[in-house]
Amino acid sequence: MNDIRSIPVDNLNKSELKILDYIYTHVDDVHSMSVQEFANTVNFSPSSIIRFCKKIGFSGFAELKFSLKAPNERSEPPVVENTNINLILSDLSYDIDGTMRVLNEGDIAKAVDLLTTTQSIHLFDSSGLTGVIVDYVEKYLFTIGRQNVYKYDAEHQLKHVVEKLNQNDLLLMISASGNFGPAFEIVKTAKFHNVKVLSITPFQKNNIAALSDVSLRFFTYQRKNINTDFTSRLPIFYVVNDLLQTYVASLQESEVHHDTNN
Amino acid sequence: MIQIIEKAYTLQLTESERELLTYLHENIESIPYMSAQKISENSFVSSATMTRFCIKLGFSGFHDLKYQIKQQLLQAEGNANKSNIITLFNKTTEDVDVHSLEKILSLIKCDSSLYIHGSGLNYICAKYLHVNLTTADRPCILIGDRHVLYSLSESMKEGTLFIIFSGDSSYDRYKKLAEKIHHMKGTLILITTKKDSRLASYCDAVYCVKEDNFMFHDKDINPRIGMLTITQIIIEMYSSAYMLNNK
Repeated sequence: MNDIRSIPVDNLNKSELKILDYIYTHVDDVHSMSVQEFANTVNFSPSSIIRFCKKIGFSGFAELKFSLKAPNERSEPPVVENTNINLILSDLSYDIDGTMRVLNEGDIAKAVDLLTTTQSIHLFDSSGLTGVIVDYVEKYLFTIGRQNVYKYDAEHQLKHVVEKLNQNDLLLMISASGNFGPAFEIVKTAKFHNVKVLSITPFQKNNIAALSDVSLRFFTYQRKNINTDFTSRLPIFYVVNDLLQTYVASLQESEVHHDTNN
Repeated sequence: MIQIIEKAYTLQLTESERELLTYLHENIESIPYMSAQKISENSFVSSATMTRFCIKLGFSGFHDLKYQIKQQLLQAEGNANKSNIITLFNKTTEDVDVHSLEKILSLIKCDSSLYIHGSGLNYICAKYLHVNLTTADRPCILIGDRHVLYSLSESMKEGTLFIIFSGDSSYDRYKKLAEKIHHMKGTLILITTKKDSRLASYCDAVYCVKEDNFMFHDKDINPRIGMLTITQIIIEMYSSAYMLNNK
């Protein structure tokens, strides 16, 4: 285990040095703080603190605190109380940061344009976790008063509808894999009939993104429980929220200008 | 300054084209919403000049230019939005009440029937939790209608667990249900955006989520991102304990 007093400082940046300095000069205070309290004191997020701990060779904040005790006081192994939640926050933050990196600038703008210029929006309620997001999009659109939003849970039904649509209509497809068979079939049919397609798919190359007019990408760590999908959809919720808030902002802008022009 | 305007300043322009450029630059936010005629009137520039200007910039006409200006404005806003997402996530997770979460988790881990409820956008959070817990082999029942939930509570077994996701006007809606659950010796967990909810006295655990509202048409809209994030954290806490037990 590392000794807090013998950490090489060469590859620490200014902020990290500040944190280390604070620890050195407030050993007793830090010892009784939770990572939350410490983070607030030094003005960083808990996940940054955890990253810092790992960078200097500790498994987490608990281990760092443990190393602050003098050698003869270390009778018990470090207690892992809050390590769990901080690891969780760190992992979630990693997904969000990753999503920000793969979400293309300008794609949100193009997506908002599709929402604004198309007449009707059609959603595919596939089952499971992705279905929850589709449900969210539908309810969110209703809440902001968007008209002509249609949702279908049967592939053949939506395919049937899509065959009668045209370039003034929008298919909004969300897929956690980007390659889900039924979803891809619907997207193919839509493109064949010149229907606009806005999709939300993972950052890896995928079939649905390839065919879409605009595809908003997200980043998440895949996880399964035997054969059922268990991957966190949180980044997709954030992308949807960002898309729809930007949409609302553009609606408000155009209303303001409509009023001033009249 | 957006790209188009920047580029325009570097071109050889006639005096009237310059005037048009100045007008566009000073009123850039309004341009996407103005007709060519209006812009021509306001800037005292002829429509012929406008067309020439657009072509000089490489656009097919004014309609094309207007569209590109709008895209670039949205993009500039979008860049601000990107960091907004990270800011929003940090804001949501900065004061996580670990103690309450651990209490909630210990209740979910008990071997009891579990009902999860929410209505409106709260239903999304309820459904998200339900699907995830089911996948993690924790049986639970999703109920979207509080009347159905009330009727179920009348014949419930002692120790049945209820998780309710609620927004602001929850007291009147859930008072009767909360009293019934309390009376029948059930366990109630409330995950709410309302600070100091009066329902708290009936609950075994309460989590108050930070709001992330915005206004639209005089309506106060809460997209529930905070609530969804907390739900995800609960899921992660449950599944890490679950994964540990199944190694």
